[in-house]
Amino acid sequence: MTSNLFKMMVAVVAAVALGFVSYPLGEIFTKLLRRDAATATTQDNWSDERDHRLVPDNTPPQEPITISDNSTDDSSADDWQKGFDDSDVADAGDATEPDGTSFMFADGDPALVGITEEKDAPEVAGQTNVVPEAPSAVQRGTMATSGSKLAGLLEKSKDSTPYTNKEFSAEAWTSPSQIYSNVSKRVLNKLGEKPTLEDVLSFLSTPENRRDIAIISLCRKAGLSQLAEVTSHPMGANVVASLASNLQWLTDTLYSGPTDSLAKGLKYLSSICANTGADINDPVTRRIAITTATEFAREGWSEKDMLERFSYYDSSYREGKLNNIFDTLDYWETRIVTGNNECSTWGSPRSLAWQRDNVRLPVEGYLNACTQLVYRLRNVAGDSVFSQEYLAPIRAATNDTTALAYREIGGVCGACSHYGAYGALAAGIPAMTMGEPGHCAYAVRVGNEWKKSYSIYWQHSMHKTFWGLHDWEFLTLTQDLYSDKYTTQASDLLSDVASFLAARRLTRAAFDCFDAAVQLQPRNWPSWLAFAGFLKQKAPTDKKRWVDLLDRITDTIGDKYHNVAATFEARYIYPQVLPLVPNLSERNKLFADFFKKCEDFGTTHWDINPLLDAQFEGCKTNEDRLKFMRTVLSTLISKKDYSGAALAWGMNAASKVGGDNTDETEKFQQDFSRLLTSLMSRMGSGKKDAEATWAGLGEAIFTAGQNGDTNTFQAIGKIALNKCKAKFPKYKFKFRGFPGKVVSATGLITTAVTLDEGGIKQSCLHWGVLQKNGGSIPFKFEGKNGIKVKLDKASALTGLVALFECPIVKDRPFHLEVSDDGQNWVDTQVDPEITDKIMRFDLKKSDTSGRFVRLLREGDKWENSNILGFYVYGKPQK
Amino acid sequence: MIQRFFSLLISLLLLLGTAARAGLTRSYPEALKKAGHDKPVILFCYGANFDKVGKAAYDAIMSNKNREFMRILNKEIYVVIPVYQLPNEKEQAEFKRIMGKHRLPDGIWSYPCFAIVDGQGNFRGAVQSATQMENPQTVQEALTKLLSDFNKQQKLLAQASHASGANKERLMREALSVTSIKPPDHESFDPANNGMVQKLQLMSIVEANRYIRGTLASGTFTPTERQMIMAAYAGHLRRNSAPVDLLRAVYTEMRNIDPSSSYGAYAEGALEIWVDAVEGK
Repeated sequence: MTSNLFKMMVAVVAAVALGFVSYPLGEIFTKLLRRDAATATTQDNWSDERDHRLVPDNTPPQEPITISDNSTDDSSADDWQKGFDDSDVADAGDATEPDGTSFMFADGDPALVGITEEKDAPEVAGQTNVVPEAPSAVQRGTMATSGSKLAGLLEKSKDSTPYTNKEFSAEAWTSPSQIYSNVSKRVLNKLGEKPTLEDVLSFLSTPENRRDIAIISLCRKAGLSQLAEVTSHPMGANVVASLASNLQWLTDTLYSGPTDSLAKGLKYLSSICANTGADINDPVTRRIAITTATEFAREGWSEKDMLERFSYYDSSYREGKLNNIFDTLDYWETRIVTGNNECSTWGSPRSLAWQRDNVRLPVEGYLNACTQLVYRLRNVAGDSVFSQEYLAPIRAATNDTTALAYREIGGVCGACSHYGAYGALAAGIPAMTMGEPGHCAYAVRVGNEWKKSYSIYWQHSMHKTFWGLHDWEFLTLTQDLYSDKYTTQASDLLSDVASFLAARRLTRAAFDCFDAAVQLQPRNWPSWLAFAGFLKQKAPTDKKRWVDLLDRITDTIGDKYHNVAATFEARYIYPQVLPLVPNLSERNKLFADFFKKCEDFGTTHWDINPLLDAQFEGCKTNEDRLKFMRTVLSTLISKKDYSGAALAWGMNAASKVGGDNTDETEKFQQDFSRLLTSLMSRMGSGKKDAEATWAGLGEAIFTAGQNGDTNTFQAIGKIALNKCKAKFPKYKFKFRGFPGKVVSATGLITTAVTLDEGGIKQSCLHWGVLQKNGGSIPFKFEGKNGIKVKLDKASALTGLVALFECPIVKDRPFHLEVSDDGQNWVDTQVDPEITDKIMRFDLKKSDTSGRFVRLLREGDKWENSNILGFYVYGKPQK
Repeated sequence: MIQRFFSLLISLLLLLGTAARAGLTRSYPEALKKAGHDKPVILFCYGANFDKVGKAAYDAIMSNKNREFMRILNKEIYVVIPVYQLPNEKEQAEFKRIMGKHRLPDGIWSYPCFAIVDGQGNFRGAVQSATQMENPQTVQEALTKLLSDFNKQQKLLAQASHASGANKERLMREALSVTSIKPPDHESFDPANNGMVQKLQLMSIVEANRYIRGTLASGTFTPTERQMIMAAYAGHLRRNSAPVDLLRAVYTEMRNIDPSSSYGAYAEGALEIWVDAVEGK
């Protein structure tokens, strides 16, 4: 086999030399060689065991295969939070019909779409369009056992010689539709006219049949017309023929993650072979080549970047410069490494090579590598990190090497996190950056566990995903899914058979196979999606089956991954099931079932808003809305993980309820306010519940602050004082006040500081800052952001006293501004009187009035302190 | 006469003792003890179970093939520290045996490397970049220079500790000008994080000049810190549309403090894009 492939490669090279191959390879190849030379760095001389295969002196100049490229510019390295606010885009999954049409998800469309039936597929009595009853628990248990046997078989065969079959030559692959037709017929003959699950499992027990299914999947996933385009080039045909002749190679390509744009991936793979002389018989080179090609195709990145990335990892591996972890990575893990983002900056070969050679650490060391950068919002010259000037003078000296430039000059969270993550990636270790609200952090895979670094918040938006879902729990799901390698492969095989059977109008058998696929591997997100898509197509109004699916998701995937289950239900099941369940009580019961099973956050803190939004969406009248809120909030308020988030959600959702009838809306708001107060009053205040109550109220008052809802802010503050008195300080401040009353005591205060999880839990202390005995609110001053107070009523102001935790450094001036509407601000032009920790603005002579007051400061500087008391004096206007 | 004889004898014995104590030391705490106040301790740290480059470096150095390098190393106190990735119990025990209760010093960014610490365990410098660690010859060259710089700085610091007034300041300045060695007990100055940039924002060009010159004259700064202060000054001038000639003068002065440093390169880049380009050169 090896020698044959070698002969094939030699033949191709010879053909190129003789001009028979239509791939002009010259310029890019020359560039690649130059680049290789440039990236081949310093540490070569420690060992003589280098392999210079990729830099052959006698290789003739070649031109690259021309492949249409839809790649866009790489995002800016400064776009640290990218992805955080992205609307989720569903993965296109294994979504292409053999004729090239998309059959599951259109790009970016999260709707479930069914499977297109093939025109020549006959209708079979008792099979076509037959939606079977959902299997019983016992039947599903049997399915799982049978599926496990298949998984066991796959595992056992891992050490035996991979199954190969050269039935289809490169020439035969120039007509993939013929191959698809032949193999389909053979498979259908073997399965019989009305296959059962047992038939399918028995069929899959032999490697030649698994290889047939893999060929069918290859054709279906790539699309026949796109595949024909690939194989119309000799190198493309050779590569596809080689892949298709080896079951292991096919499995590695098809079952190591998503296969969107597979045809383009195969073109990229051909391009690697043609342009770099890579020998895909070498297992590591093959792994690097396949993962780089499939990931760059899937992400829509350019061929040029893809070739550079391949060369970087292949040469680094050969030269022994990668961490040993890379040597044994599986395909799916390698995809995270070779498919890292930021091709022109942090992920450029130059920057990766520099980090590879200058930040060599044990895997756990990369969790702290971010500290190698000095944190500087402004560089020593005073230029902002968000300006072009920040790095401009050092670019030439660092040869535009992103990581080196930031290490010399410093950076903020984005640069620090990229430095840490790309340090690991450069060494061949899975890692990725992640957005957090107002922050950037990163994660490194240590052992079999993803560890967070530089993280300040529970909410993460991972910058590398397989299914377009950015939450942390989807990363852990991906890890767990593919770590359970053989069960997942068996489940993927069943899922692929199901798709094929569905296309051949064997509906009943397709249902059984989908059911078995997800029963065997409940973590198989793509299989669940395919199953739900098929159900939507074949039984959109079958309430029993949809409710069954809802229950199964909660029971199986929701057993560990609460966020994943909630996402699936909110996105894909509720839109189907809610119209089928008009009765509010019945619906509320369905909703409650989720929280019965998922009583806490599960593996990680997650955002319950989308789930509750989807549930709330089904309520069409204010009466229903209020009933739903009463049910859901009274359930969740007693669960410590959810109480704060649920209260916050309720306030946000209620604030959005409006309509033409103002009286009705007002009544709803009043009723909701009463409901809220009543619910919060019932929160526990005993020792056992105090922490949960404090945290829940903190989250709720924080939301009220964000919404500018003064009444709720005040109501929660008072309840908190009543329930958690011990949490509030009892300062006895001594300062000179001003005439009039403290008009801020009934107002609302907010800070410019981005609060982390711990900070939000302490938000009731913000309310305390406005009260006599004080509280605590962190502050920062940045441009027009500082400390802002919204008064209950517009007032004629006489003065302001702000009490700081630490002595006030007088290095930059403060400004006090007022506003009637919170939009248009006027500087009072009054200088404060500062004594140690006390700041006083005397407004008696300034004729100042307004409803909003804000304290600002010139320049920007990180100040790690708090304000303990903030008192605006004056007389409320009528 | 007898007194002189005995003091000579003691000096000789001490010298012999020091020589005998130099070379490979089994543990870090033992090495620190041996180093006392003035001697450096060299830490050769390498990736023991995760890094082929580290392994190759270890083999190349510890195989004794490079005799000149070993001769240099054996004159110093040095410890070989295998750094393990996800260490098992045995590896943890091995690391603990060598390091005792100590952690590896902050300042090491990459393995393999040769780090230099003083007897108090302060990180003072390292040979760790890919260029320096390219092969035994480059390591030897870089380490020899680092050791020489360390000794030079130690000597100046010792002299400064016995001096006073202007002489002390001069000696301290000289000690800090040894750029490759991090002076102990020196509080680093960063204009971006120490408020200098903010202060400058409110100043006119004339005020800024006075402020910067005053700061430079009043403090003891390393060359890098002086360059950073000049960068803050130049940045302020640039943003306030100062005359190009003034900008050129300031960036040139900044570069000349230490043209080979990062901020020397920064100044050179600034001259190109913000001075020469403006003048159409």
